[in-house]
Amino acid sequence: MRKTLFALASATIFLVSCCHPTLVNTYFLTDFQKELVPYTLNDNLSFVNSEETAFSIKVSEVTTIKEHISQGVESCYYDEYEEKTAKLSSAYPDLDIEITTSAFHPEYFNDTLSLMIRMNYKSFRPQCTFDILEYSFQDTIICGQQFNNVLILHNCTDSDHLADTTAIYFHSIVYSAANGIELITFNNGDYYELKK
Amino acid sequence: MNSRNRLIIITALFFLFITGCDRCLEMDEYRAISQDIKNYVPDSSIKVFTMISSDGYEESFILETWFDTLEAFEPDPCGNVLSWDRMNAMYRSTLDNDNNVEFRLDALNDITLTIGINYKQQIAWNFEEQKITPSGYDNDDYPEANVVQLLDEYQLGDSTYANVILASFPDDEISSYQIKQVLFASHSGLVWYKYKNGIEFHRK
Repeated sequence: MRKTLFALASATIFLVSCCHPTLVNTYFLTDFQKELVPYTLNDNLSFVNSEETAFSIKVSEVTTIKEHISQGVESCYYDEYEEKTAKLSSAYPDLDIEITTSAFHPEYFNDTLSLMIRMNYKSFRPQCTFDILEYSFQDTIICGQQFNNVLILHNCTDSDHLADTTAIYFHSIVYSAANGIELITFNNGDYYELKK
Repeated sequence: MNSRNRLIIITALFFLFITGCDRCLEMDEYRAISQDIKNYVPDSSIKVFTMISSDGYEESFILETWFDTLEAFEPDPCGNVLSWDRMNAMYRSTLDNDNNVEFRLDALNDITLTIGINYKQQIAWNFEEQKITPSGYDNDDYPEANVVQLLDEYQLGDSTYANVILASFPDDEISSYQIKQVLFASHSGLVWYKYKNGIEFHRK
């Protein structure tokens, strides 16, 4: 009798502790978010530096995937959200760029567009605090050039060092939905510019 | 016990003794590195430097680590201590975490200077044997300099550098955008390099 009860209790515990993962919500990229990463695989983008030396950045990967987020530690329930990523690279200058936009997920992101750029391990965002991120498309003049309807993303990894001009740091990226990266600026005034 | 067995046991114990016990140092030993060799590691006062190419690209390197220290083993069974000089300086690029220049000087065995570039290319020189030595990485993805010259003086454009190390890498081990030839100067560290494709970088 005791053995039977023990076996029954063990089986019950086993059955309730293992569960089948269950999708609860799916969050999709908006059409605007998809268009915000305007790159096609194998595109070659022409850039010039401040001294008009030309170089090429190649689009090596463009993917849209669904990421999973569990609703809690050891929870059987999870949400899916879409994420579009483009990877760009240049051998000289040595640039390794990843541009990602993620579907808005109300519980995990207080960020309406979730656009993030990583360049050579540096993180670029519209602002470097972790408050609700504001995306402000604007017309602006940077490095003596006019840019329309662009976002300015700042180098948040080196934000404490940008005022130190004894060393060269990436400063910001000027980004548009139409062309992607338009301009990469440095803290000494140099830049890399997209040739359209 | 007969004499044959006794002899076998004594012989076995003898070999066990001479192989199982480390020999002691005769006295404390200190393996020093002279100051003129230490000068090949950049001065600690150099906190940042910038390299600039002929076509307008710049890259800065920030000092992350610098030490000049005395290492020592625990005393041997006789109470004697082996100690030696060791130096290290590591500069990391401000534009790419994968780019760095690291100087490692060690006197534990022969006095050896190893310079690593971008965690891959290695230059290693044995000052006592006055020859190139393996860096220790033994990795086909890590090209090692096959020519290393220590020169009293080197003229580079309008500048003259004293006490330099000029190193070259074999063409078949490097890609177009890896370093073919590189120059280090005493106290200053990295002052010039040239890619395999001919692009040159000078110290700003």
